[in-house]
Amino acid sequence: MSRPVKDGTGRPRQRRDGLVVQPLPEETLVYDLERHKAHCLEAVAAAVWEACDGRRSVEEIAARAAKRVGRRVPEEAVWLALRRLGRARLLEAPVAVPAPRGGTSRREWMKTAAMLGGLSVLSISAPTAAQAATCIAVTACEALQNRLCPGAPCCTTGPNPAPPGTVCKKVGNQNNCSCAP
Amino acid sequence: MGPGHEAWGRRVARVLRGAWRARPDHQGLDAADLFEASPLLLRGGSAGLAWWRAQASSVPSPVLKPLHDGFAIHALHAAVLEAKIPAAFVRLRARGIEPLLGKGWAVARLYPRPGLRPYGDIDVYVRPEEGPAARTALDPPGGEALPVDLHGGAAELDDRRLEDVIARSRRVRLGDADVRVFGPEDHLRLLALHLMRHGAWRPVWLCDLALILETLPPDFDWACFMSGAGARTDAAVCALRLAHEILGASLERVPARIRRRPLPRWLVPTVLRQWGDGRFEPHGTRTPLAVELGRPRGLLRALRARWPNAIEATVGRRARFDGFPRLPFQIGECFARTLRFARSRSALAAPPER
Repeated sequence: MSRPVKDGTGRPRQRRDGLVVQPLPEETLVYDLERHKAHCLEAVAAAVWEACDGRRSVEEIAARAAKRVGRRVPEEAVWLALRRLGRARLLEAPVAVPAPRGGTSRREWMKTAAMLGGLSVLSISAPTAAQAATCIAVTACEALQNRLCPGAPCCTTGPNPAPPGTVCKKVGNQNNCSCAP
Repeated sequence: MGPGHEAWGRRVARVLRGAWRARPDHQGLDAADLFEASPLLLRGGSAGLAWWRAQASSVPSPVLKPLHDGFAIHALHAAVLEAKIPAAFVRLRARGIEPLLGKGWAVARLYPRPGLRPYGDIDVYVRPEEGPAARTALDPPGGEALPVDLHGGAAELDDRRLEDVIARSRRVRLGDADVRVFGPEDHLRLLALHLMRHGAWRPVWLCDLALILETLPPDFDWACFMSGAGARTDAAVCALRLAHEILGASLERVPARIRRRPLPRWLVPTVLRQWGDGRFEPHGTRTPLAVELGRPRGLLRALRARWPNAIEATVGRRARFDGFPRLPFQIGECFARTLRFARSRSALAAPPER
């Protein structure tokens, strides 16, 4: 899949296709079904992401995010969140962060923004066998991408029973998990 | 399994005390317990609950990180499965089948957050005679199969009239859809008996019971919960008492008959040893017996992997949970399983009837 071009409009749009989103009070969890990555968006990053409808400017996004998190969100913080969301491929196109004003370096500018907190877009790793449920159905296992293979036993009952003794795991170079011994 | 396993299991139990509550008390939570028990918590699907209890504590974030990641993965996996439940109901209702949901989502929905209680598939219960049609609806030729574990009948509740169980079932909302779940009395009994039948190996199953005990609806009918085969009722009662003894679940709203049921001395250590055994292979993950028997020392390995714990053996032999030694039941259960295996092998080997 080719990398989308940078958004030059300054009105970023949230990506919607191929994502599973689980909003929670303190964070928003996102699973990218195409790239097979799970992300955890902290409060401000989640509020910025939610506000990216392709019509709002960064200034408007900052105002909306501030309303949602209940504290001031400066534009620098929005730019930093947008950069992180773009890198995580959670925007339709990554944004081009403008040069800072007032003689400060971009690095210092971003550092100041990062100190505000709540901006992290963390990638989540699947701990070994984290999903050890009683068993995982073959279809559910095969729907998971190989980074998320839970190591849980595959169900030997149900409409599509797995061979006994198999677990949901990464097999060879396949993109998806498989039920294998 | 030995006393070492019991100590590990006790760590898991200490971490999970009260973890199912909306505001769990993190006082008394030991970071060392949490760190050391993490592999067992992750393996048993209790990582989310451990994180939920520990998140407001002073436990260092590197200790919490893998538990939080476990929770997040469970939450996303639950979101994927949850989205498929209405489709299962639509497909079954189109064939005139009204299914019941049990275990999995039906109990996970009661927790304060999605992801705290993981589940691997959607447990759907239909009348036995509806099984074949339901199977076709859920896994149509050439169509998308849904991740459903289909049960013909009500499994552990087959000592009750299925029509009564269905009559007590309730409709609940799932997004824009209406789905049907077991009535609370039937569901608590089902969960308790399922836990005991599988030797209580997953801590999260006991958390399920603890959660339900503390959030009972005001009209919960204990007489209904207790009705059915005597040995099963006894097993279900012991399961509730275990939730209190091991996890500190409140029995405030539980009848005195259950509160006063003494547990045999072997029961709590059996559960803790099971929880502390990091090498335990649950049913479905073991190397098939037929394969093991073809290998040198395979019989010994197979026997060790399949040796029933005292709880499984008691349930399997339909015995009472009393103070008598469990070894005879374990030997009996092992013998019964071997017999079942031999019968299934001979049935497969028999020439087809003409």
